[in-house]
Amino acid sequence: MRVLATYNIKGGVGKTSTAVNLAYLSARDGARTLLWDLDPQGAASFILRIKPRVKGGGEGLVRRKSSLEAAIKGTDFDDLDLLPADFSYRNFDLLLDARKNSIAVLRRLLRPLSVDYDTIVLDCPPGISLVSESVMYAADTLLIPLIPATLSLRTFDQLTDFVGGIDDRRPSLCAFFSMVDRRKKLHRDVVAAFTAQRGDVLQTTIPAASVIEQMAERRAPVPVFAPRSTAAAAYVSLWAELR
Amino acid sequence: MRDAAVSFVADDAGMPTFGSALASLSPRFSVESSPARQVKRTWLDTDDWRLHEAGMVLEHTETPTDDPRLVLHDAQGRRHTQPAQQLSWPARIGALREGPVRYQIESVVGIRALLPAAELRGRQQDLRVLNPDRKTVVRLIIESSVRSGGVELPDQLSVSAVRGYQDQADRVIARLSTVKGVSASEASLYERALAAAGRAFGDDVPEPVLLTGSMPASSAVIAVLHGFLSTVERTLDGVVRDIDPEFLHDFRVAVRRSRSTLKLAGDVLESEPAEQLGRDLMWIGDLTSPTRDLDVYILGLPDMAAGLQSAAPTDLDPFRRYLLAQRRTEFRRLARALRSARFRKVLEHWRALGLLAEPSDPEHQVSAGELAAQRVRQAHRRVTKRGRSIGPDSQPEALHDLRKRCKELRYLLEIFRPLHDPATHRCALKDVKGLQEVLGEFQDAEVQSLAVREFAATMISTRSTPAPTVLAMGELAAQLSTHQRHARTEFAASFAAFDSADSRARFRELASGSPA
Repeated sequence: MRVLATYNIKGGVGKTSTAVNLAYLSARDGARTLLWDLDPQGAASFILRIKPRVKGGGEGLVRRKSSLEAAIKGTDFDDLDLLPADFSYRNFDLLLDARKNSIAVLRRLLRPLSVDYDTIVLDCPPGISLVSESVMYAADTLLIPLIPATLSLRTFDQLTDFVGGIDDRRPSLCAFFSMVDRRKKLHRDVVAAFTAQRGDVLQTTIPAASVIEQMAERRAPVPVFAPRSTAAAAYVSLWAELR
Repeated sequence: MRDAAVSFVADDAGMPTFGSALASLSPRFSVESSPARQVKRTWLDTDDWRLHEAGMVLEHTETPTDDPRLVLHDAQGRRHTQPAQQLSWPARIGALREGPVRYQIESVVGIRALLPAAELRGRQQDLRVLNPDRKTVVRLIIESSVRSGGVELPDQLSVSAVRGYQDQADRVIARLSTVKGVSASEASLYERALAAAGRAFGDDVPEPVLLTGSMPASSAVIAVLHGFLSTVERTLDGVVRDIDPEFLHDFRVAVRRSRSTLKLAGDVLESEPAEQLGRDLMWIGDLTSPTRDLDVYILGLPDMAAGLQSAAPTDLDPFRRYLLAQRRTEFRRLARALRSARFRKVLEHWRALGLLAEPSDPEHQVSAGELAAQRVRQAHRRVTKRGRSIGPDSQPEALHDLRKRCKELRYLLEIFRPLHDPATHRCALKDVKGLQEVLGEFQDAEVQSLAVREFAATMISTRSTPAPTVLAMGELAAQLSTHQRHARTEFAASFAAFDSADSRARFRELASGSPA
């Protein structure tokens, strides 16, 4: 079982759209895939037409009073299931903090799912918190969408340092540029310069495209409703790099 | 990922659609459909139904528009899929791409080839049942104009719940159950496709030979020999087409057991036809040995290579290529012989054995029960006597001879199994197998070690063999010698277990002739 997590300290950088599209592409390849919508806003759950509600809430899951398996819902797509968001996830930090070895809780929760799933994608809320640290501990690969701006690159450096300081189980970091507007010189320059400098940045860039914004309206991954779009091709290419 | 499907079939084969059934779902649910498409579905299993035995169902689907796929439902009902190239059947596991389906089945399938068990062609339409939030809660598949094995099957509607929506699927199933002209089906489409082709799960497994203690011994021996003949005939095609190495293995076991039957109990038959069959079987045995021996080396090579200490496993690649080339040559020779008129004549003679070898007055012979008791007693005595005479300084030949006597005892037990008490038989067989394993390991290691040396000598004299390969082969030979020494040290304890009071009592019971 491979665990991928989309993460960035900043919000609005394309984490959820990346998580949904990559999870869909993983399932389309035949891998049994689970997407866990950890963001209390529940955007991934909304896109996949599943109510953002988990019986017993985050507390039930963390205290193992309710089963993770029972909360999982099938999506409209073959081999893609979703563990929905719940509004109680806004207190996930507190719930984790109350547990022993809190950083390992998510990893322990995911372990039994290896029988049912080949790929798990975690869609994380923004910010640095105990939730994000637990995600880093649980993930094999941390996918970091970057918008092409100097400040977001500085954030990436901070994140690299932070992950470098984790002692035993460090995920591999894969950054990629998201929301890239090729008409803007600044975007082109930043992408070119940064990709040349850093070995941990993927070649694929995800464009700033209206079809990506339409995911919430169409309630489906981009390759489903706009398979020939540039954005769909970009996600396919990103998935190929990660595969 | 999804719960198991429930199927409905149209009561009349010619019934055009499930329109009224789908209409019954509104207004609570709406149904969205994709265009129907032609589909070819091929269900696969090994010749000995290993996937079915493991609770797995493997399918290869082809449509004109999409890439072919392999779909596996495992024993827990989980679905695994992976893209599959255009495959032709039979195919060994190595022909499948790496992927989740292959990972799940490779340990079950092992060295056996995947063969089509059933096939159908027809039209398939995927439909989705949506709840008022327009979320897919149930998936439906309609299969129509389905033909399998030249038979048209009734149209089928299968219903599977999307995970987490079983309650809504139950409502859909309850509604469909009330529709006229549609009935829930107990059998899966796979089972119905098999039935249409005149097949059923496990149908290739040979029927057990029916023996009774009171039947004439000659009739029992002929029945046993005909049982082995049916295995030879059943596996012949797989051997000649080289489908997988197990066909040849099963073929040889049947031939070897037939020879032993003739040797150990053939004296109750007319002598001339029995002796002729014995000579024929020896010819077939000799014919198949070189290919089977090479199969054993080739199949065992990865494990042996993994045990190398100083050489790298890849050093043995030239050796592996040499073995494969030798096998190709030997197999061509074998296949030619098995297609020959001489071989066909042997089978005819074997089939006619009931007419040729039944003594004119079988009623005055001993019964099958008496024969079994007498021969098991003799064979057990031979093993015990020879085993007791073996000490720490005995020559390897003494152990080889004991192995042959053990095999005879085991064959007799297996041949006369229907005449024995099942529990006693099972324990006695286990006693023999325990000893046989140690003796087998001892002799196989010696034979293989010698063979590796001979292969090395031939490879050096006939082709430019790299030095690392020869060194690795030397290490292999040394590894085999170590196995042989280990087996030799295990012999005393193993024989003591066989010669224990409990085991002797079991054999006394079997040799007493009291029928099961």
